[in-house]
Amino acid sequence: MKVLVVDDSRAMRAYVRGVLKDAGPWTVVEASSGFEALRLLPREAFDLVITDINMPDINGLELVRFIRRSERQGRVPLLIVSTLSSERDRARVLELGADAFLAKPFEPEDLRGAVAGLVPSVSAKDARGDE
Amino acid sequence: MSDKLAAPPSIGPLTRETLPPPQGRQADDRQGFLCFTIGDEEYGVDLNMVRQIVKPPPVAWVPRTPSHILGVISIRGAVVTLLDLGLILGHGPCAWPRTARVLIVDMWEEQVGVLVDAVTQVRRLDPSALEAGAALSGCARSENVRYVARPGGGALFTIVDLDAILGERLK
Amino acid sequence: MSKRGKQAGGKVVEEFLSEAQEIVEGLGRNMLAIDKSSSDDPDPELVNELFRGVHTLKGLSGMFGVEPLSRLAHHEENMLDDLRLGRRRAGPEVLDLLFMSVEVMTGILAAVRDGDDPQDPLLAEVERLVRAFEGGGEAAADAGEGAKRAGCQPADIFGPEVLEVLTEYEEHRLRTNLKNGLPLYRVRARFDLAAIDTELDAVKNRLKPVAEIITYLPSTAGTDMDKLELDIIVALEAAADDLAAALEGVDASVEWIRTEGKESAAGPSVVPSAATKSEEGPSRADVSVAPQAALVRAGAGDGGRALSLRSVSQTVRVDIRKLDRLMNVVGELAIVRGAIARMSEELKVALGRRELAIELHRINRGFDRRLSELREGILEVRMVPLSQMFDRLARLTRKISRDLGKEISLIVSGAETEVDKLIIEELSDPLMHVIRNAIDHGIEDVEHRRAAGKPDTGTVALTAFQKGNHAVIEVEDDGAGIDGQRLLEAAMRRGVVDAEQAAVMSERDILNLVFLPGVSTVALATEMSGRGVGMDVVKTNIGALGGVVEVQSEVGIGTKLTITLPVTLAIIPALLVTVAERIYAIPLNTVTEALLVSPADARPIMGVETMTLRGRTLPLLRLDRFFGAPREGALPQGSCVVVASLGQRRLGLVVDGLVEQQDVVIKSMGPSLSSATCFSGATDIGDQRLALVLDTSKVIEEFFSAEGGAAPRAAGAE
Repeated sequence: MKVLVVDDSRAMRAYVRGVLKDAGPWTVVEASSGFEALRLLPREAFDLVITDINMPDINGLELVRFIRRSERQGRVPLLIVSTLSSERDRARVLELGADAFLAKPFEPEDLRGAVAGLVPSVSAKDARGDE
Repeated sequence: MSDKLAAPPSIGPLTRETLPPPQGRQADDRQGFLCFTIGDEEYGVDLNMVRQIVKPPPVAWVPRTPSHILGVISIRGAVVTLLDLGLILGHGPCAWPRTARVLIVDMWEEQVGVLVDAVTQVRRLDPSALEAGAALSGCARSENVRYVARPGGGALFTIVDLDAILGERLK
Repeated sequence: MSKRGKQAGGKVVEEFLSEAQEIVEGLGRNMLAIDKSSSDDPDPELVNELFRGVHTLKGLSGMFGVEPLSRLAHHEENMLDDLRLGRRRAGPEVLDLLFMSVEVMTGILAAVRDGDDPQDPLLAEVERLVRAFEGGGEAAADAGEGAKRAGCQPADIFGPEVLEVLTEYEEHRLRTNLKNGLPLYRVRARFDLAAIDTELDAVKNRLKPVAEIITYLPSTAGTDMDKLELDIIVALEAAADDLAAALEGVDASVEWIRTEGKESAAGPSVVPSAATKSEEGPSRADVSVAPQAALVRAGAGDGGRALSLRSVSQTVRVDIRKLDRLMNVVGELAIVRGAIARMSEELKVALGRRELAIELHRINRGFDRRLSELREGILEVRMVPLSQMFDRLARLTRKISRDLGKEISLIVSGAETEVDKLIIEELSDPLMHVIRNAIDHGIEDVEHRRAAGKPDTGTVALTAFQKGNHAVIEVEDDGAGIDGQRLLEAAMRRGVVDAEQAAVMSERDILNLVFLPGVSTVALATEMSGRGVGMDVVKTNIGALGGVVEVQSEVGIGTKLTITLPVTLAIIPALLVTVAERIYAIPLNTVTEALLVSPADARPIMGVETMTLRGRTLPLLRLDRFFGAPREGALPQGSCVVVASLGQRRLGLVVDGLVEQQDVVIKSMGPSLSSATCFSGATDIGDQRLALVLDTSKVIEEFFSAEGGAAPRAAGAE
């Protein structure tokens, strides 16, 4: 299982990585910007993309639309992890096709729950409890 | 009402490195004292001398030094000598209660740490509340005492002259 | 730190702290840039940069449970949001508040790092002020409404294609530019995905002087995996020709976007010659206080370049402890080298294998050279530019000059000069004090300056450069200079100098009195710098780093302080040992070997405990007894003997155990411990703990001078 974590904060990426490590057999690939994500997306098949909205250059909205329109990765589950500062941006990113929105700050359980909700195979694993 | 009643033993805001600067140059000639306890006695020192108040960090004992020198501690990367003020003032050695704090004070040539049992409050006193320490002369430890303070009606406490006591001990 | 922060694990928390620190420093830099531009209408990109920084900080500190920081960042974010969305103006009081909050944030982070409660007394005050600002954004509605009333709306120009991916802020910038009647252009360029960061930076740098970038739209049309087509929507602030000129040589097409009522504007005729892509943008004039700093820290936010971690693509971040570990390995290799040298000696002498010994010796020399290279290489990696600290000093200068009501221009140069990271940490307090002094005592107030025919604005120059193995930092002001006579009087009052001495003192000697305890504070005392800490402390701190301070001054002209520092710290390899459950460090240069001994090895000769080592008698000194905490009886089982030598003398130091070998930085102890001569200082061994560093030569000297007397005693001191 491979997940792409897009966030310009390296501490955030490290945090998400840490939480996912305990949540299942995830291979975490990090991108520190929208561009890096665009660079990685066509090259690898991801089972999940987690992205922030407020990033320099290409913002999360653009990234979501780009992904939804791309042929190869168009259906990948998209989880938005962002602060709740703009209601408008939040509504819009969901309109653009993001699957779920998780507001920062969140507890590890919240993230694990959101991921389990989006990626069924992991939720099945979770139901059996930790190995 | 007034500061007669206001004396909660809150040390919260003082545990950080910077103390509030002495309140500018208002038309207030009250002097600030940082109050603390050793054993069951309350003492005060000139607030201007105190640079920092910290929880006691680990102490490295320095062999072959007098017993009131507890050792050295690391304060923001610098090596600082730690003294047991209680021992110097004639109490027993510090029992390291949970409330114990280290006051980092400016001496002539260096900063030193002074271990006390607890920091209680900052008091601003009118000069008229201070009685010269000479009133206690004859008492064994009078050379350490600069003033005895009688904050309006409250219990009195001793204002110690750290410059004098430590200056003597640090030579 | 909260449960969440703790759960995250130490490594992640460290990431958090270092990133948060970087953000806060970036905020400071951006504020300085805004402050420099001294306009109520600062560059929107700078403000957005600030907003983004605070926003990230809020999110991060929330995630990591640093509640005071996230609360402060939250209120400040609202305030900055008002600023960037044009709902409020950036007056000086707003800037002051922002500067103050940077200090508070730095304090909070330091507290968290030290494991303290982040309780800055200023915090409540700053928070109160920020909240007060938050409430009253009346200008707000005004600007917002104004924009809405203006004829042209984004929806009139763009289809959902563009509109749906604009963030609230981008939409706001679009409206503002439309309102101001600026023409919009679409710059379409293709980038190599592998190099998009640098290529795009180049394009951005060319665009910024002439246009405001509103958004980047990745086009999904391309099927090429390695290329990305990007539409950059810009609002042109200059003439259309300038845009063409700016994009000269860039492989991009430019298209004018028709906006209502603006038909007469330049048509879509701006098509720069499509040549090969240029890597370099035109170098922009830096408006920052630290131009060099900006150059070194690629992408650091000066005049408006994006503060981005990505652009520092040629660098890696390394935890300094990893370097310490590497350094330890080097130390261990040095021991191996020593062992090989001994073996080759033995081969030659004992076994008569001369040729083999020579060969081994030659190999060992080569090994030695490589080892030195490795050591130097690691030391080099520890070097960091002074720029970060200089940025902080620039902020401080601003604050002090405001507090004192003096106009100060700080000229910084040489911020790219590198010194060891540890030196930087220890240097920043003394330097702050020096700068404070320069502004407070050096620079006169306006009336005096005018009377002396000087410009109203005082100048403080902060200059750094490397000179051989040393870094030189100069702080020079064009203030009143130091009055030698007053200084001398103060010194005499203090009793540091008597009349006789005073009579024969040179001008230079007199100026140097400023570094004596109590003199500077008496002679120069004021509110700011006079509180106890004088120049003597500066000198002591710099001395502890192995540096020296010198002062030059001329009355009426100014003062120059020159600090000369070693580029790398005095780091010595040492052996950490335990004695009576405490850890001490023994410098390795005096240690020849360390071995385990059993109680039976020790036998007294004339009252001195000794053992036999390779046929020679080795006197033993039990360190616990030497330290005055003796334990009775024979050597405890498991004791170790560290063999130390000074010239021809050898002494076996008995310790309870060996911990490890480590490179340590020796820090001196205060004058109050000058009687503890057997220790050359203390060193940090992590977790705020200190270990004393044994001055082995003093111990050996003391041992043999006591032992050389008529009645040798077992342990020198007791």
